[in-house]
Amino acid sequence: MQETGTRVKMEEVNCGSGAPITALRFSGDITSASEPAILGTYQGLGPESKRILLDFSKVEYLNSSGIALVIQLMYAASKKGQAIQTFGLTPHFQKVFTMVGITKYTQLHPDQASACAAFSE
Amino acid sequence: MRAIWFSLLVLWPLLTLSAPAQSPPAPTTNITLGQSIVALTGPWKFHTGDDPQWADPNFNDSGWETVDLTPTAGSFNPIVGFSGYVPGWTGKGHPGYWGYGWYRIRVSTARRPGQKLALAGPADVNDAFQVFVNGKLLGSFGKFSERGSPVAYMSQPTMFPLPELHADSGAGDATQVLAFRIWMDPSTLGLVPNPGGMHSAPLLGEANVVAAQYQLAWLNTVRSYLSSAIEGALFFLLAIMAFSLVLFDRSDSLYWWLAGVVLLTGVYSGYVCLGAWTQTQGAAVFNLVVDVLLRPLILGGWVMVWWVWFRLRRPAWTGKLLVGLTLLYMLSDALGEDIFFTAIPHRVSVFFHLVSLGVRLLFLLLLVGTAVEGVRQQGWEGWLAMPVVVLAGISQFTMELGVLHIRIVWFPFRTQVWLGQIDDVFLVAAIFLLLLRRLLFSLRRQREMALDVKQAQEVQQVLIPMALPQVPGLIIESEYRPAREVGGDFFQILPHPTDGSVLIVVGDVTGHGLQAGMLVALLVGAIRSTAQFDPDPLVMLHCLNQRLFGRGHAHATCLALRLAPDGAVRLANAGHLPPYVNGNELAMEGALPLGMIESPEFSLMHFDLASGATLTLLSDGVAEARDEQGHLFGFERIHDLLQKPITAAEIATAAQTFGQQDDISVLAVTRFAITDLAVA
Repeated sequence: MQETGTRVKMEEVNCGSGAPITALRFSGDITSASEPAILGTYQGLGPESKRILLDFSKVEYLNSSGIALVIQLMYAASKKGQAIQTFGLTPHFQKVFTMVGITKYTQLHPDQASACAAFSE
Repeated sequence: MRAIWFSLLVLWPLLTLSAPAQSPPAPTTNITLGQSIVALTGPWKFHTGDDPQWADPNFNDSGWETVDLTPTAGSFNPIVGFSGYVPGWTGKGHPGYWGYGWYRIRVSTARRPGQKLALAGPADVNDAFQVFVNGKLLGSFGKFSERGSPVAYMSQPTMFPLPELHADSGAGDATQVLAFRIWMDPSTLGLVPNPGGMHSAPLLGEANVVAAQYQLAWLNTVRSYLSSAIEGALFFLLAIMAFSLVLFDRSDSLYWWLAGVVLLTGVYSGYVCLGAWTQTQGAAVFNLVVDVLLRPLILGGWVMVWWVWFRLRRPAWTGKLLVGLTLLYMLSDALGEDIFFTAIPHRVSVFFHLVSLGVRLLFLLLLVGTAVEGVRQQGWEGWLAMPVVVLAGISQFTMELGVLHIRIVWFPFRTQVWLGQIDDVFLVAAIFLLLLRRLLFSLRRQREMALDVKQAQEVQQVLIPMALPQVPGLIIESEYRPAREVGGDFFQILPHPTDGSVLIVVGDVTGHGLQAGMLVALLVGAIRSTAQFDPDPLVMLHCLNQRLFGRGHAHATCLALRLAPDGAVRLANAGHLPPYVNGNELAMEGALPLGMIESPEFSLMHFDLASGATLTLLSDGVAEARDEQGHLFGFERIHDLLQKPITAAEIATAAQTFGQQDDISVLAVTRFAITDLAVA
């Protein structure tokens, strides 16, 4: 199976009340080659981005190196006091994310609406 | 007697001529004369300036200067090589003049009834012209408009049928006044020696003869620029080759520079042909594209190619200097070639032309300096590049050398060959040799790397136990299938020397290949040394985490368990797939993989492995095998597989057949109580 590159779309999302939320929408495969897309994009966020939404609904494949990058992102965000909500993962990768302890840093949601709502909790 | 023989010899021709004809007369060959063509070499009357009345046949031009367009023997156009070259008006008393000039000539032609005449415009002219016959516009070369300067093109053959002068009689003598209104761009002043107006005489004659000459002139024009077409094709092929090299090795910037610069050179040559053979590009646009855009980019590109080729690093600001010089070259050519003469005064152009000259000199120094450094660092590669580099630098001054009447173009087989094109031939030869050497070097390096990988594979075979230890009460099977030559999965089975327990550690380093294999070597060493002092699984994971933390991308999932002789299991997990007991997954809390943070909390659990129960440990290469459609093997398929007796090899084969993406390792441990084994 041919690997496809990682693409990231960054946008501001308004979820009812509160400050805007920065959404990072990933697509393609997330592998060891995705560091610029994952960490580079995250590092490019300004200090005003306090609430971050990670959208994996268009991600086709994640391997262990890609998951390590996501963990690094989560860990860096937790150090900066940024809140992260995640949605769009297939049941397989929800299980993998749980296994590798990502749920210590984020909650996994089935869709954007529930992920947005979680910021208000 | 001798006198008689001599007399007969002398008189013999007279005798034969005067003898009466005995045979019928031979058939007569009829020759029709009159299909002729005449070069209108002069005398022409010439005047600089512009006045529409000068087209009038009755205008008195007796006060104008007289010009003869008869070429001197052996003369030829110094740029395109056409024979019969006549210096233009700047070489005949009007140095530095640009703009309009008029040529007039009065010709009397005698034509037969129905005979059609035509006029071929001067084959070599600077730059555009309109031709009038008896005051009426006959045709033009270039685009003339009421407003603005005419749009000129590179010289091309032209042909204009002459109108019938006496339509009612259709024959007789007629005097016609031909007037050429010629425009020369100021930019032409610096392009050729002695520019201005006509460099060859127009041709007047029978229409079909002029048409034949016109076709011949086109053939000459095509042939003259054939070398540019061949050069363009050659460089396009080279560009394809260079871009292919980019596909093989994207990390080497040399191939990018080489591909870019040879592509630009191909575009340059193709564009020259387009300008010479068509009227799609006006002279101003042509000069902008060729002189202002392509030539500086190509020169700057070649300096970068050699700079990268010789792996030069210092001075570090060379890249910025090159960008600056290239931009300055573009600017100075744009302003120094009188392209924008309607907006920029000529003296400003002269200043920028001097700037351009200085920039090109700097480029020449840079090229030579780069080659000298190449000689110092690479030896004969530098020497090979040296003549090419020097010629490339000198060929940037063709305009100046041409104006100084120093030969910069030759015409073998009537095809123009520039100094720059000769350099390009040497350049292609040099690049070919250097690339060949680089390829051989690269092949040798690949062989060495393949040997390194093979040796790493052999080391890993030592580290990953192929022969499993015999542990009383346990049947252990393992299967290890790396995705590449060297894998990132690992496992160790270490029986305790005294208490009968066994320590089992399985893991998966992120990534695969040589880097992952080296991390595996590090971890296996750490596992073995730690186990000697403390075989506790949790201690083991913390110890391994310390080894990996802070080493950049060194991360690994890992599961360590200690199985006591009575079946009690203490298991610690760092993000690895949870174990399966008799096909059922043991639920565990998630935990970060090793190496992610300094002090992680690993998940810990205890359970008993009953006699006859099988504990299966898998790496994520099983669950994440992926088929051609992108479907994952997944946890459900693993669960289904484990519902019936199955070997480790069968599990690995199922995942591998589905579509292996990552290293696959499977370890199955079946426990039997010692008493059961004894009974069996």
